[in-house]
Amino acid sequence: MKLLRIKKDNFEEALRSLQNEFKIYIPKKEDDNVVFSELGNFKDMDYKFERTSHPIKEFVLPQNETLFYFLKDGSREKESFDTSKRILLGVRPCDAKTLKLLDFNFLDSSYIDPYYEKRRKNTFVISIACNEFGENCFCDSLGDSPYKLNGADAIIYSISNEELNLLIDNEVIFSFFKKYSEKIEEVNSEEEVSEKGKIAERATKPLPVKELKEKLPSLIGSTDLWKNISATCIECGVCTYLCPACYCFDINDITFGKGGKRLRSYDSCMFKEYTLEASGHNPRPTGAERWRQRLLHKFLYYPDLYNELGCSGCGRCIDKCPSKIDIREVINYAFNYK
Amino acid sequence: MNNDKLITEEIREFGRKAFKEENVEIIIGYESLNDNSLKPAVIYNENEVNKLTWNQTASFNLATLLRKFKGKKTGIIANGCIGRSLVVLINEGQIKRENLVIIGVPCQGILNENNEELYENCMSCKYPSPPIFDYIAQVEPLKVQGDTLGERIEKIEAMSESEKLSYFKEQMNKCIRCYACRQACPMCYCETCFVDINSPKWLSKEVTNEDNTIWNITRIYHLAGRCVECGACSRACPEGLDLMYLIGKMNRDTKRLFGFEAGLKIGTKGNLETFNPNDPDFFWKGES
Amino acid sequence: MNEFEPKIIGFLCNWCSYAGADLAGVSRFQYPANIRIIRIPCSGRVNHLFIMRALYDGADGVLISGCHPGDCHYQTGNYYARRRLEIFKNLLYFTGIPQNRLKLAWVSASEGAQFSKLVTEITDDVKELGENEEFRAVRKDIEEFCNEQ
Repeated sequence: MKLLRIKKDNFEEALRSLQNEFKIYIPKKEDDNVVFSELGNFKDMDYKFERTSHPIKEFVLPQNETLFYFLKDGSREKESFDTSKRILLGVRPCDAKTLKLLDFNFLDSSYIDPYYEKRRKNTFVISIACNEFGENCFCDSLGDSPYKLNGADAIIYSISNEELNLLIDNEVIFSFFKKYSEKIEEVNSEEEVSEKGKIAERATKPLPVKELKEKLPSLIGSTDLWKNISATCIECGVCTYLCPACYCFDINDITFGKGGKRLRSYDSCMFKEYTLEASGHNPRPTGAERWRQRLLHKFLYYPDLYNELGCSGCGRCIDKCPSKIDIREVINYAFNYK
Repeated sequence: MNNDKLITEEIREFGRKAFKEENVEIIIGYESLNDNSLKPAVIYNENEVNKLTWNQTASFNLATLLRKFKGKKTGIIANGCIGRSLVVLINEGQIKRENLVIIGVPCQGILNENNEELYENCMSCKYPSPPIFDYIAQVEPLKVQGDTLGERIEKIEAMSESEKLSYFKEQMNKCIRCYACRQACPMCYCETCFVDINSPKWLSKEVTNEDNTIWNITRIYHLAGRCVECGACSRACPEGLDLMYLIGKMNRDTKRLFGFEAGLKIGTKGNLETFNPNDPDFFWKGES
Repeated sequence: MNEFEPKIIGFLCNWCSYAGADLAGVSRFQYPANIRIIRIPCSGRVNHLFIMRALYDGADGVLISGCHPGDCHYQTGNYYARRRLEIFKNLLYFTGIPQNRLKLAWVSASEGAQFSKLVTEITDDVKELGENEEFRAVRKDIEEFCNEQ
């Protein structure tokens, strides 16, 4: 790992030269939302890098993805890949972590999703260590950290008026910024450096996620627990849309004239139709079963399979839930349930 | 502010009565979050009654939760919007009046996210108190404050066709087809929504301006004569689509052309469920 | 002369309007061939999604025509249609689509001349408006693929 000190001017010059090969995206304010948009004019570089309303999964798993085109008579097919190169600049560590979580699913050795793989290979992430906690952020309660690499290719640790400190864990990224930096240090581990970006400790209680994982298998049959948790859930699916770690999808064909395309689009385990079988039977008939699945997926199955939680604590689900259901409360409630 | 405390005390008292005397199994109401905003809550026994709270952040339409508790005797806290939704659901055979114990609240208006202004549809609200109830808090309801929504609709009506179209398309560009609007609406209770019907396939799963238009116009139109303009859909939308202007226009047309407003009286048929041979006739005459 | 020829979809009720259109034909009343007629049992059958899908799938204009109120073959079908389409028409106009793209009419089985006049007027109006770009399912990417070699 290399720790670079770069003057802001030189940093921007590096980005300018990168723009020949890469599309660079930064968080930009659009009405009430903050959205990752292309960095066109450098006067948009305000170095604030606010957390975006939507997660970055759109870049590797878009809401609508054409898998291939076909002619209806079957005579011709064409796969459709996105191999455009991009750099996401200003990603929060909670979002950066979720790319790793998505990789577990889509780049599993038993089947590598070619569409995801091509996008992922061409997406570089330069994250920014958080300066302050958002209202509903809880990465720290999960044992995560808002100022670590978390799998990003590089992280901006600190920004002063003139310069920034960039920790780089990727040879390719290092080669981009090498000649623009004032100072380069070799770093053996992130721990040596992460104090630089450390923000004030927040007095939040850690969430009992390790203990909950042990307890969850015994709670599967506790119907009352799940009924209570899901009582006010309207199963709208907004949590799954905005969650950076959620990736369920549906595949449909769209035809038009002589041909058509196969489309992959977001789906949600919170919808009744998600598990509706052709026979009419639905193994998850009510919101109670669907909430159980959601909690188990994120806090039992993922840790079991990959040793990582399926949640990064970004808090978007808490922000936008119409029923104001708070997953932190759900975790505590399930853990304390008798 | 004062009324909030009074209302909260009264609904707790009524809640106790509902458990003790009316044998409700659950009560659907609101409870406080840390910052004094409210979130919907379901309470299961008398001991939880002190969770019930009311204030001007009660923006969730509780009637939409009833479909999860069918068959149970349910108490429900209801202001005008929720009460009217209940009337529509009863009229459409979705719930039985006997299964409901309605704890009425004359609404004081609901504040929007910045907690300073009333929601648009609250400003012109003519029915702040529920039209049916078993108990009701003894406070004065909100008086009509103005008609900001109506004025906004008029302004858009006065725009040229292309301006209207570009405003509409701007809204459709925002939609991500999460269907939160549908889930938040008490009157969207179809077992299989038209978007999930494969033959005929009315719209694709792709998030395009065109498909978003079919989704939003159809959902709004399927509420003609049934919508009580509570605004739950607009608040549930994570992208901030302006749905109220379309809904408001449709409801105002329904009132103007047919003298009908949804959810006022048990036993009335929905506006499009019936007809009158003397209905206004503007066929072939353009806009009415 | 490459003049724009609009595609107009007409939903005509079987008992009055369709018969009226038939009468126009039999009586040799001319009307433009831009209209494609879909026969429905009653104007009350019209689902607003027919109108939306027609516009999205290539129609430049849509006509819905039924029996005159009071004369519905099924007694009350057109009364329902009148209410439903009144509300829908206003909602659709409010989104900014040019009003001449959706027309509603009552044509009886004996009104052959009126039907041909109606269709001529509608076709002229829609021709003036031009192609329906406001509500058209575009799908350029599929089109491009189909046209590739």
